Amino acid sequence: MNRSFCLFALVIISLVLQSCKDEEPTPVPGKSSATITFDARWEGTPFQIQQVYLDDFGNRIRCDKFMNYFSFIKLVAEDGSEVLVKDFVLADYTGDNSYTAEVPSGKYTALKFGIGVDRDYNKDQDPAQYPSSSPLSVAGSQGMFWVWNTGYIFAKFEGKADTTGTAGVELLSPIAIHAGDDFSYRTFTSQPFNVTIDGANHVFAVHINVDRIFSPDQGNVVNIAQDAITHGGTNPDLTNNFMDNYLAAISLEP
Amino acid sequence: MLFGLLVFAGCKPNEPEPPDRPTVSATPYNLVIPPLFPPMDIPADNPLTVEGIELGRYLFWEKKLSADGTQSCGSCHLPEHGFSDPNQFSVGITGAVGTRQSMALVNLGWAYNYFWDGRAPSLEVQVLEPIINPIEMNNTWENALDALRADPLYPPLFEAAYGSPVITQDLAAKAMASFLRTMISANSKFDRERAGTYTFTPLEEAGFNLFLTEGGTNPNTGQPWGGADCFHCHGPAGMQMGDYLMHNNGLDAEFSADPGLAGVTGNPLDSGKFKTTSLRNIELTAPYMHDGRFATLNEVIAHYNTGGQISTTIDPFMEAAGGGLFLDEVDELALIAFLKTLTDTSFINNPAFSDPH
Repeated sequence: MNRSFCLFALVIISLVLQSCKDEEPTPVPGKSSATITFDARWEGTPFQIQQVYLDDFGNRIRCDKFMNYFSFIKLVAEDGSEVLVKDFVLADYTGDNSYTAEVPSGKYTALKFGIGVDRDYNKDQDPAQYPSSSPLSVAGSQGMFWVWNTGYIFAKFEGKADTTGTAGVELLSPIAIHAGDDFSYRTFTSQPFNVTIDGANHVFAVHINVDRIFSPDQGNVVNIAQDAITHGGTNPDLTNNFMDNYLAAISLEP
Repeated sequence: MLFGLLVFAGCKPNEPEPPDRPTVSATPYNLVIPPLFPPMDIPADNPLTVEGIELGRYLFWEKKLSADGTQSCGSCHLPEHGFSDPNQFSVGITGAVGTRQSMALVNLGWAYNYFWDGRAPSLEVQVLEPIINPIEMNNTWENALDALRADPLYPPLFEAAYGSPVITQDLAAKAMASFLRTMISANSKFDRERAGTYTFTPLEEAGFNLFLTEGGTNPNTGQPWGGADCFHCHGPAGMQMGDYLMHNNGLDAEFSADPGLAGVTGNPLDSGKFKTTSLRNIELTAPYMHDGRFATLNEVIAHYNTGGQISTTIDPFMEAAGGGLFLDEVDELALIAFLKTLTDTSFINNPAFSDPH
């Protein structure tokens, strides 16, 4: 009797303690949704901020800050209509960069998004108009807003380098690639795919293969030993090369 | 059945607790956001009320919060010095001398980290520390709360703000945080210039242009950019004049004296990084930098004009490191003229922020 009561009490207590915890969100049966994840990689493995990497030019580079905006992340449906997943996000590659939205059930054939802040929201905008929860706000932009030409930094790659490629040498040479201004906006559209979403969540994994940005194979040279600093229009060649290579360094697992 | 009900009841508090937020009887405070400022985040569990802010003002200036009853927050945050301390380091009640300069209090409601090393994520957390810091007020919170409970002034003030005369650390912190959020400076010449009601003098205008212009050497031309390069970290976005991010501005090449953010994170690559503060009222808040090493704005500009000391953690925004900004004496005069337009005497003289005792 006592043992039965204790067992009953334990079950009750565990059930009640469970009920005291915050409820985890659970998928709603029959609802279709899409999650877009963005991560950064170096030669196929997760890219680590503040880790030293050797690039194809022989430079040892350490990235202390890698951030960029994505604008209007959309799925393209079979009939050509577009479904918005997220309007603006600021990815910083130090944590989770995944974004989920309910989408109509159906067949999808492409993913597209802008790299940077869409023109209509970039120039002559006051970030003070947004609440801090917005990535376009003063606080939410985390230093990604330029004041002198009132626009956003679309992508930022900051750190230090040793351009001699010598192991053990302290990294002192600055890297400050701040790509911005409307000319550096890029649009990614995936290769066609066939994904049916029907009553469940589907994850689209977007990888930024950072090693390819700093590879001569990309055609646009971003060699830190030659050129490592731009603030958008202050060095448009580097800005354009970086953004072109960034676009080409994207791969998608639909 | 009865057992189950008892266990369910265990999910709820067994005894009445003091309130953790203002009651409906407290008067909502109408916070006016100045033009061009962003919305201010107010914690949901600490809405601004007239009574809470007034309690916070009393507490800010309350010397009984220190162990020997000789120092309040205001002792090291003097209004005439932009709510900072003119001494390089403040002296605590025991005579102990600090290692960092008293930070100027201004527009704190728009920041999202506090202290020079950014270790406090909210004002409610920040205000807890100086009272128990051995080199500041050197008290315990229990002693401080007992001092308030023994003072007939405070139970009614807490009751007016929170609906109960019970005095707790949580409510005291919330009241002080509320008061600090109201310390808004938005009536400087710079604010008026932005609003179109003041015109910069030519020297101020020249200084603002230098402030907003790249500095150091243009890598494409080999020629100086010609600016002072202030705006990257102290830009006027949202009228804040500081990005509140953690930067190493090149004061040192090694950091044993004060590791800054690295002392919080334990990450050597955070060495020398300190919070970027707002430049508002900078004319009044000497000495400058986290350790108050510079007595004048001229010394500050001289530092940036050298470009700063190269290290592996110096911020990439310090682009002139190893080279220099190439500012001349006229540039320096202009920059200082502009920086003085950030002074707001109506802020430092606002009776709403003065000692009510």
